[in-house]
Amino acid sequence: MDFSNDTEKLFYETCLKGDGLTTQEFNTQYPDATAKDMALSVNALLTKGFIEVFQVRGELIYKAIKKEESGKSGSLMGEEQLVYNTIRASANEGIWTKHLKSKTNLHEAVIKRCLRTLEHKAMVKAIKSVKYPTRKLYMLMELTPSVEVTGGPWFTDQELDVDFVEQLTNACYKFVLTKSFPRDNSCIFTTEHTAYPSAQMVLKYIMDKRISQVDLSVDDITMLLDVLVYDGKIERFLNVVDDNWDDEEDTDTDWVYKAVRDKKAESAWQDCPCGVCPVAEFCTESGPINPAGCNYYAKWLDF
Amino acid sequence: MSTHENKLCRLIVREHFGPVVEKVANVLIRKGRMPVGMIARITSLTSKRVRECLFVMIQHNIAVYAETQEKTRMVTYYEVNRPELLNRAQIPKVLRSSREWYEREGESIAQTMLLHGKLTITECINDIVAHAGYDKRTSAQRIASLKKSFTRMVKEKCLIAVRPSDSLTATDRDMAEEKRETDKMTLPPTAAEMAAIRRTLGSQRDQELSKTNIVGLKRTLDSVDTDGGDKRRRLDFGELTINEEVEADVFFKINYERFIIRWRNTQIAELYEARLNPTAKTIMNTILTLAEERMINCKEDLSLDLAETLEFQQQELGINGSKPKTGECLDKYIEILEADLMQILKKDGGRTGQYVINLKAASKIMKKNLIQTVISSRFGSPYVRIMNMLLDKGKLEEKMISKFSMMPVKDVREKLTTLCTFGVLNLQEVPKSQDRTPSRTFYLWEVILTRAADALVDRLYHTMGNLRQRRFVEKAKRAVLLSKCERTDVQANDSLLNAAEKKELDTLSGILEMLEVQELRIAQVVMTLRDF
Ligand code: SF4
Repeated sequence: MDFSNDTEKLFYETCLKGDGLTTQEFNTQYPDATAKDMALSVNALLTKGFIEVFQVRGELIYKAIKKEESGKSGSLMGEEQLVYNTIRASANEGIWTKHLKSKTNLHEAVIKRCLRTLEHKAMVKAIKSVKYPTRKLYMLMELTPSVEVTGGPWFTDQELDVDFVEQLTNACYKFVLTKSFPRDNSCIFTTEHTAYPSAQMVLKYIMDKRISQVDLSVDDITMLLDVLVYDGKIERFLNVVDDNWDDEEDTDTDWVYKAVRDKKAESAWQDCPCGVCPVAEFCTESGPINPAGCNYYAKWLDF
Repeated sequence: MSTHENKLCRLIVREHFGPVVEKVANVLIRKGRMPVGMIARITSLTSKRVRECLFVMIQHNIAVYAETQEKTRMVTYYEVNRPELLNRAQIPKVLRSSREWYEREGESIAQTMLLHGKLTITECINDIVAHAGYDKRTSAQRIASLKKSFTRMVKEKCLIAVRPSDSLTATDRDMAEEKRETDKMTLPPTAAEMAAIRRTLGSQRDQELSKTNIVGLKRTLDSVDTDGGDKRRRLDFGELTINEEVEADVFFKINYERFIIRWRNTQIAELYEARLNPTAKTIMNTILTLAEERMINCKEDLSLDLAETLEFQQQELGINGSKPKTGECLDKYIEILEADLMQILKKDGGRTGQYVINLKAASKIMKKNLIQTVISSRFGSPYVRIMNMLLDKGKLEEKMISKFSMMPVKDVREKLTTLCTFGVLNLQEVPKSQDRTPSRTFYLWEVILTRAADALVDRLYHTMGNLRQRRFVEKAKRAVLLSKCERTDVQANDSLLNAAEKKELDTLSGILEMLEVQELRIAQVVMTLRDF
């Protein structure tokens, strides 16, 4: 960092120490700096992008920007810098152009121009959010969008990747199934059996087998397993805690999963025409649609 | 009391009692209770006819009456006993179960009872014997064995004594009792007093129900010498036996409720078969049989005083011979049953060695399973996923549902509406602002199991009614042929029917069988949803 004079340097370093600094505070600490000097250095620092200024309850507060961070914005000028900094402040959430406008108080055309140059310099990028598919968000080039924005591993191009989810769910189910019953199908495990898989184990299996190309977390797998629970294919329960249980940190893995034996999903109702009848709502005893002249029945009872 | 239910009721009456009774029943079903004169006016039957019909219905326990004072005269109002009437759809199953549980005798008894509505033991047995046409000796034997079966059926409450109060409606009975209590007071009762009266009457009724001695069953001690001594001790040693005899002048009827309890119990056991294995089912069955005697009706849950407790005795279960070295295996099995996530069998806290069956949980699981299968075979598994999620999490918004079920919002929306029209889901609006604009409103979805069950039952009634109607239609189409078959000369000699006619008869019986079986299967589903 190059400072043109000592006041600049002093100011910057004081800023760096605290969590925001006002000119008065600086003045009380270093009474020999003249107001003019100070104003000049603050201005210089601001243009160089070494410090930021905020307005809190009518007071101007200055904050130092770390050297590493300022690197890029330092090379920018005026509006571009402002835009860049605002985008940077939004971190990995990204910021919508509308919000960008209201925050920077710049004209839309100006913002557009700035964004174009910034994009050109490969400093920011445009992304789309899952939550608001119509909004265009901007964030720094080097950041990866947060899960909020991308929707996590299940989303490809802002859309839920149904096939991928289904494949993985099936894989999870198969794994849980193999662990749920003894090899001999008519047997069952006794209550002492505790080797039911947890989400952690399922994750390990999925990663080991390279079923998924995407990096997954335990939470992701838990989501899949929850879906399976709702499908009625597996059950979730708390594993019996060992007597010599003292591993406090490991509380996440308490939930284990177990497959449910396949129920034969047959329902007596659907076996007869009325159970699947599309016009049942209109079917009355002697109306235009009625059981006596019903064609579905005629077909069903035709042997 | 939807139109579907009404239709089904009416068709049942038509099949069992013919068109004239149907007319009377129809009026009562649709318009509620009314006196004879009014029925006669609406049906344009003579009041004698109406009386006859009502008599038939009362004899078969499907009509009840209430007497009220109107000015100077007593007016009798008649009403249909719906539950009893709808239970008649289960008759084929009742007969089959009677044969299973009480062999041939049981079936004949059940059949005769159903034929006559209510009978005393002697009437019933005489009727059976008279129709069988035995000679003296065999008939004496038969009577003895019938008597034994009859007693057993009474003892196990498959047959129940008919009391005068049974021909009143339950609400009338309750009201009369309440009136008796309030009449004792000088001032009109306050709400709190009224509630207290209801409570005491309610508990009295419960006590009555759970009483162990059975109306219509006499217990005598059977012993040669009557020189006293400690009766209980001698009972234990088997020197004395308790002799139970059905009182001859008491009328009995089929107790559907008991049949339903038993069917339910088997279904509970079957739950375990599906989840674990056949042995688990056998054990569960035994446990349930042990507890059955003290079950009163299907609606009880696990409130304290109705708790199904049973002394757990290994030998009793061991008889089933689940595995060699029964004791140990059994312990293990019971442990497994108890640990099962359905949590139906539980150890009773406090008292050791006693197990409790959570009937409410069981019935909920059965209902849920049933609705699930219907939904999944009608719509597909994603719908089941949504339903289960809502059951688990309560009220949820579209967005949340989409997130948890990992389905795109637009798919979810479509599925939600489908389920809602089907009657499984409920929608609740929570407006954020006073003006209730849709865009500023939360739409919360939820599943209320009982309501879903009701909605489904109604659809099933519709289907049952349709099946039944179709059955009549199929018969009516071949009325000429059928009446020919009933001619005595044709019955004696079936060569009077030509080949085409015989084929037609075959088709007809095939069709009827299909329709009947299907209706019975659906009736069973209805039972699960309604009675369990
Ligand atoms: S009778 Fe025919 S038209 Fe009516 S509900 Fe059944 S299948 Fe549909």
